[in-house]
Amino acid sequence: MEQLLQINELSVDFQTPNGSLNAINKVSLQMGRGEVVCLVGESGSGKTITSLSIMRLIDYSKGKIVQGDITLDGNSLVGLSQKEISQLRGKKIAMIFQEPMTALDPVFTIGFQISEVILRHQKVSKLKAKEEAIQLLRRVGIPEPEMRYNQYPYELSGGMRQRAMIAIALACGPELLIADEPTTALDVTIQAQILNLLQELRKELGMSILLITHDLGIAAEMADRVVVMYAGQIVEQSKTLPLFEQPHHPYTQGLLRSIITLEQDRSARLYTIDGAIPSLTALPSGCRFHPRCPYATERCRAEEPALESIDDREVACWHASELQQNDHPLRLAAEQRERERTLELSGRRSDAVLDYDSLAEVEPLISVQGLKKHFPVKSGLLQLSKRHVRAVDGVSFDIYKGETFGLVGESGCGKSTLGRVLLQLDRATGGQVLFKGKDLLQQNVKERKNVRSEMQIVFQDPYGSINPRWTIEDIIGEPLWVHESLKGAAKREKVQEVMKLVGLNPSWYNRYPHEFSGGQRQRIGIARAIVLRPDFIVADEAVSALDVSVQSQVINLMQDLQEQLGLTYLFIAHGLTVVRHISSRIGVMYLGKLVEVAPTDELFAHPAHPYTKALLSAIPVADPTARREYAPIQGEMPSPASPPSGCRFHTRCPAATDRCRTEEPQLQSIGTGHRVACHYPL
Amino acid sequence: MSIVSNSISSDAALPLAAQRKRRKLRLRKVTFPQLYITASLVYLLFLLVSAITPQLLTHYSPTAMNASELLQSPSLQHWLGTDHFGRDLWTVLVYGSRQSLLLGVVSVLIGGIAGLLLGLVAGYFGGIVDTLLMRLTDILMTIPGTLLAIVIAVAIGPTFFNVILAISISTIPSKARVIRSTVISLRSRMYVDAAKAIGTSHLQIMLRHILPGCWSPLLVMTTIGVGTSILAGTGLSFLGLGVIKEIPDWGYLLSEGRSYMTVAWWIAAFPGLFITLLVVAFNLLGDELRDRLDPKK
Repeated sequence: MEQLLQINELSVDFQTPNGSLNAINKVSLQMGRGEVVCLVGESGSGKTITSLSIMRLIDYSKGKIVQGDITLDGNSLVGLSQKEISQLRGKKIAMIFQEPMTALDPVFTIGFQISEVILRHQKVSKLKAKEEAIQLLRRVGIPEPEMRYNQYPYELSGGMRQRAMIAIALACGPELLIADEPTTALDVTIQAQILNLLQELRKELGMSILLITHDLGIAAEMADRVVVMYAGQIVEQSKTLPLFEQPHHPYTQGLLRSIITLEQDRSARLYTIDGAIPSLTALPSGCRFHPRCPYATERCRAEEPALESIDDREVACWHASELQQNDHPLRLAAEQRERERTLELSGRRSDAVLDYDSLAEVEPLISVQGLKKHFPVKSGLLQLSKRHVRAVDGVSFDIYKGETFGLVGESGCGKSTLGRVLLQLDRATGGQVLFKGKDLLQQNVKERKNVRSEMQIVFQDPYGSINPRWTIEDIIGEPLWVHESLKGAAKREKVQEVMKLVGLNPSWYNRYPHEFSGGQRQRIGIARAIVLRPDFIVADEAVSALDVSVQSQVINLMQDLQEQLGLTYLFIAHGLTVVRHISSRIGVMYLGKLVEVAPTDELFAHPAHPYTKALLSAIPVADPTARREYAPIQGEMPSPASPPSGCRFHTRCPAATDRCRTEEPQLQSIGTGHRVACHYPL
Repeated sequence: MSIVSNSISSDAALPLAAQRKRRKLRLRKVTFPQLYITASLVYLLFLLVSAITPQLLTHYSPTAMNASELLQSPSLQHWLGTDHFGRDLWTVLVYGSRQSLLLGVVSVLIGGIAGLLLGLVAGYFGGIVDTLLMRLTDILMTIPGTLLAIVIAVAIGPTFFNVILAISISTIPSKARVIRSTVISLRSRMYVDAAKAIGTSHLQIMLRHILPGCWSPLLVMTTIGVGTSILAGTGLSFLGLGVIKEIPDWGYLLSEGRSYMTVAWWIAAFPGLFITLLVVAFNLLGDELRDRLDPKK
């Protein structure tokens, strides 16, 4: 294959107030024409910096290429001035970003932003540019492109914005498209659409794609070749198939084992890589992965391995070839250790099996009946015309003691609002929430305060949900102080007890949040939620913001705590594999309505609602041999301010009939514990 | 409990790194920042001494006029020269520091506290409370600050305390506005939601979660405000609404000196310098205080 991009021993430094910081170190990679290369790794591994270096965009954030070379089509990019490189940007190399919300300029129309690129690089008339722009919008699958041309970014949904971004990137037919986590901020169904689009465009235009992602499922689906980065270095690169079949580097192995699949045994603990990715200011000696590596030896601690060719790939590991032998002592020792560890923990996980036949007689811990939450939207002259966003629109379900109820759906379906209403963070518009038989919505201030000690919440964002100005002791101890007026030594003692429980070192009680990693902060959030020993915890996307390896650590912790403290969870998430692993029952929400409720295994085996089925088929599978030829569900979720008549899903449903358009289906039982709101369940 | 011990040991790299970072910071701090903080403290200490016991710092009398020594330039006898009445300028400045400091600091304190309370309540509760309070400050804002101070001073009589009050009221709207917008952004933070979920009362959320985030903008506004308040006091005195005492405050001296700029620059320059240094000193100390309150620094 003809080489398009070549990166040679590239090192990039950033100037910070504390001196210069080496962000990526001797990164080398090649890309052929028409090839799709995936750059994978956890956050902080240097993937984005590498891609920004190619565009030389690092120059704008005090970054500097200190060593190495980047050549595109035989021309070096390193020595070019900003003016020269800007001639290439958009024309030869184009980039799409993670956040389609912020990457588009809000004050210009979509059409203007596309034509701008065309006019900049090609000598054409404005009219011609407009025609081309509309053509592009049509090509990336934006309906009614003539109308969209004149719209501003805020008028488009997230998926549409990402399509518009792609249209801008394609405007001058680049040879290399860099896509930095292009689907991370999108829902699975939209993600599948966008990935499909990228595949089509590559075939059509023959461009190369450098796809940056943390999701190995996406890599398996898209990549010809995969490059794995860790702490600013490449640790392994290989063709996709061999990499997934037999990963050589222990980090790649760990990443692959951390993936939660739809087939794996739900009662087993999730595999985790110990610890977290090191900060660039405190890199370990020798091999940067050694503190987390199960096979690390003295040599790994002292010397840094270089990237070397073994078999058909490049790996940076001292023991790469030895580890390929099944009976090598290093492997045997590591396997032994792991066996001991699992043995110690075995017998602790008993999947709370509910007897769904006798549920009618058991009193649920929480019973939600006809719950509604409408937000008024004011608009028009003097803000007088009022409409309502029906975030939650008549939802009923029960949660039983000791179980984990998973709630899934695309963003905007109302699942987070539902969680907030249960906890009285937002006031319900109508309906009932019975907690242990008492209606929470009818309580006075004092009763509400008391019930708060029995139900708690863990938030998605580990950075925003704890006060950066408080010490860990104060953060975790806040509930103790509020409810039991504990102070001083008594409070500290209880806080330290909980810190031990969630796997934090109790001697860290006087530290501040910024000294902790994302995973550790999430543990702090969990500690705060359990310190009063509540019965019920709402986990609102509690692991969505975490990297794969850390995510598994936190899920294991949550399950351990559930067992030890007899907790009941409402687990709200959009990651279906995670929800499948942790939940005993799952509810699927669409546009403010619950469309299907079923025990987990039943739901995944026999999804009865077309929407559930679409969600399940949109999950990327981390197996390059199982690449799917499928048609992702079309369209996007309509606005909850004006939901469609009848069945709300009918606008996207492949099986919709006239009855669906006019008559709203009710939740009906179709099996033990399996209820679905569809006229024609699958 | 082996999961627990495992994750503890694997996270052990962190405290080391954090420690190293802390040590590095401490070493760096010894040099330049330390110097200007010390200088600011020394200057404020000097002002404090001159406000309490001015006689320690000079042997002249601030009211003794000497017709034979009008408008003399700085010399060994008169360090900063003499003014148009033949008074020793250094002495007048030292004696005038009590009034200037009181005027500057007290008015800023009153204005700051009132602005903080208004902004906090309006921003936190929003809705009708916010609308009412903000329309009130809007009304105050439509009148230029000095004009408002004049109106108040006229209405309640030109005593020293009333002048302070008048000036502080005129600074409330801008402070309340800034604090309100800070509070609105803090209010939507997740940790405030978390506190509500815990059952923390509104008062405690305001005091313990929101208020600490307001110090930074408040410190910046108040430290700069000290200088402006002193000059605003001058404006009032200039119009005959302030209190004119035998010993002029710095602002008054500054405006008097303006008319002699061409023949005796020092009369206006030195009071100006004193005020500038006061503002700079407060600013530097305010920044330092803000950094100390921020656990990340």
